[in-house]
Amino acid sequence: MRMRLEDPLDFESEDQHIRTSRSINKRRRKVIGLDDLLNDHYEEKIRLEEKEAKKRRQKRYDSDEDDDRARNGKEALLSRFVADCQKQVSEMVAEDEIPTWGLRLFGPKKDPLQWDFTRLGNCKLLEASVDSMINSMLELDSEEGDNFLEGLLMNGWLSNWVFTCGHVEDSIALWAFYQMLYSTNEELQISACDFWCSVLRNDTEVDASIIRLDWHPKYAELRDALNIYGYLMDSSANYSSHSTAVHEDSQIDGPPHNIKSWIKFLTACFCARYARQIFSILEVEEALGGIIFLFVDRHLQGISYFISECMLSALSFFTDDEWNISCESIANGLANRIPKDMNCVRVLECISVVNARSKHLRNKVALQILLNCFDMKVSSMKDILRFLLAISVKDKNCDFFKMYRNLVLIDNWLLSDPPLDEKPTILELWNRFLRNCSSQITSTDWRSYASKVRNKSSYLLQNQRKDPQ
Amino acid sequence: MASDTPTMPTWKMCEAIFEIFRECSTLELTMASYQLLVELNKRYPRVYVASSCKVVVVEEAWSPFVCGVEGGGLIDSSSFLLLAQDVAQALIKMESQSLGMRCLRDMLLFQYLVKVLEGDLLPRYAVYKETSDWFMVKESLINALWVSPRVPRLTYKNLVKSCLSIISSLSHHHSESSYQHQQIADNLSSKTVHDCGAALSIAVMTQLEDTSFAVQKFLSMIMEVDVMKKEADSQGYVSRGEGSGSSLLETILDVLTYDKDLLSPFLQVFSIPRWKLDIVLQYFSKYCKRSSVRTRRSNEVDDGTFEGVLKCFSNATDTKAMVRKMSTEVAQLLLSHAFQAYLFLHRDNKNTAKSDDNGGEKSLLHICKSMISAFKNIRTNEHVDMTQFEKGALFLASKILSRNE
Repeated sequence: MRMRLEDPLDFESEDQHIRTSRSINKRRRKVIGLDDLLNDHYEEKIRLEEKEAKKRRQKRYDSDEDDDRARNGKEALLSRFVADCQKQVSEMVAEDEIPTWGLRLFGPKKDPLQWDFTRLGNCKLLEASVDSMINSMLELDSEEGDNFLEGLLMNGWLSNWVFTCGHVEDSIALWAFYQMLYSTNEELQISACDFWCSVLRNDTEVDASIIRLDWHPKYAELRDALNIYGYLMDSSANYSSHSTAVHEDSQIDGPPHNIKSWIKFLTACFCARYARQIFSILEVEEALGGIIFLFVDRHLQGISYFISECMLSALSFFTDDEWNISCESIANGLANRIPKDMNCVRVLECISVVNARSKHLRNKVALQILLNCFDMKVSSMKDILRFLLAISVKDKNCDFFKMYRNLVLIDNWLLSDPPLDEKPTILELWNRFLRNCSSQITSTDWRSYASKVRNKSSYLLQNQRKDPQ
Repeated sequence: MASDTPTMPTWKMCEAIFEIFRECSTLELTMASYQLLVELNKRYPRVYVASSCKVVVVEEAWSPFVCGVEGGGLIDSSSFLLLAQDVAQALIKMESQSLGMRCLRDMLLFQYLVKVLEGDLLPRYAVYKETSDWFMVKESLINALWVSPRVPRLTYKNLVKSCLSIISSLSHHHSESSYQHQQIADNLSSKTVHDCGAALSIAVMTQLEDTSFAVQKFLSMIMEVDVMKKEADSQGYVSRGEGSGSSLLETILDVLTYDKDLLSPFLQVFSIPRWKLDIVLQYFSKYCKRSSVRTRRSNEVDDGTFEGVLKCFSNATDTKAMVRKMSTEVAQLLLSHAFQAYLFLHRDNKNTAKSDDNGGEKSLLHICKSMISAFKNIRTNEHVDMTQFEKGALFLASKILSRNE
């Protein structure tokens, strides 16, 4: 129809005007054609890249972008051939072969402790005023005390009151603590958490007037809460991997939203004046190990930012002397607990290296996992590197995942300086290992993780050269 | 960042991370790249204060904003506005589809951008406090992006509207069902999005609060710049070209007076006491008899302060006049919010001024007394049910009084 309209009518054929506009139209159509081609091209490209992305789901920004792009091109070509030949079936197999990180840390929830509301009865704050007109305006009699208190909390008046009088009664403190950890009312839960955090944080501010707390929680109570959320304590046999399709019932398990308040509260506690009364050193060690372990639950990946903050605040709890001892035991605990698959890589990557302590910790954890991987058969780093050098990447049975994991682990361990007398040897061995990996694995090796090992090692090698060590 | 002698990441790297953040489709990658961006912003500030009270701008450093940086950057005023509108739309609809990955990413992006703006403004602000040098503030991103008259008024006003609507959509008083948060939580958990429905739902829930706070911070930064500009203007430092359009405070008041439904939810969520008190007092000043108040600097004068406002409610006739002009509901609401903001400010002042003066304590008691009598006066005039919030205000005023008796 449109074509017909645009065709010149008889008497128009002489008209120069129309003719030019027609040719413009034609040209435009041609351009659109090119655009379509381009679009097709891009769409295809995107599709291929997505396929790539699936394969490398765990991969983060560990190699240079340019490098990546060049490789992408080659791999895209390759994967297209593979995909064409093997069709969907082979794709399914490939998917299964690549494990991703993720553990279920939370099982079925337990019933929370029942809060005894009569405990609010002798609370001074809720005593009626002497002014009967105010009482009638507030209608306090007709309303239940806890309802009114909820209103005060959610509207911020409770904080106002506490900051004005500098005192928190034990029944109020306990009540707010309970609401924060167990209330299913999102709004109430968040307000209670804000309340507690602002009270705890108040003390760390300079020249703030001190708030007297009649009650503060103990670590055991926080641990109980985790238990009630369904946390599977230390029973590593019970963790099931996320990747093995248990998605249907994902609403049932997974921690309740209160976990977020739990994490925030803990973050505030570590910095509070009361910190030493709430935790012993051993308890902080345990808590820190637990917090870091939370990184591997996929349910919590959306709040990894808070977990990370909590970890940093826990690190600041220790004095320097305490830290040196505690760091070892935390690393040991983590290394024993964590499966030696992608999860240990995830944990390492999540211990963000923003200060000396977190760097120290990351490095110790890497070392411990490494030693655990080799079953303590080897005693020194040199032995481990020699053992790795003996592996032939040409071998069909070569386990590239293990190679990759070891690369990550050793790289992290090298963050700290090895003992001086061993340093030259270790660096020499490490360099040799990196060269082996980067040059002997062909770029067309499509076994899972082969390309990752190759890229990672050439990236690390490049960095080595930059450092004049 | 891991090495001992960290080098600043290259332009290309930053841009790549930013691209990954904007394009990626998994929750894991989104959170990781967001965290990295925030960390980089903290670690390698583009602007910092050198020892000699001078602001240093690292010109070659990467910034997500177009303005001021040659060739780089991706965000300008209009894309920022679009972002704010997208977030506002998603939050208003409150449907599960709208609160997916995209919304999460938008909210995170908004927060990140506000962090960048803050990192850019704070050092300049610190230097301004010392030297009153308007030029440094004038060069700030936030001024260039939003306050400067080069920004079309309509864009500006739309942005303010979007910000206000983001804030108020997060209030639990806004919708008919009283617990908006609850509603979102239910929506999110009732659907199964790929492999991380539960994870996404926790993430979105968390980001709602933080986004609201980022918006408040953004607004208060602009108001801060407004104040500085006004000061500089009074000293003749502001050139005519920069002009002085209506300040954000006035714009907010306009929007709030025009759209009365926004008033309560906005005040409910907006929690920065200093600006909250300002907004409420300015609102009152429109109705108070002696409405000659403009700036915060005229605080010595009785009106324009909270005491001044309370005087308007000190006897039955005045109260009646006020209530006729602004309705009982609004009067009760505003008084309560002003009271809360006042209490927070009072505490901060107490902390900084160290206890030796009793004046602060006395004026607090005086305010509490006036609050109670104001409420009583309103009540005798017309009986309107009080909301939980207003009851809280009255309750607290009487509690503080009885504690000191």
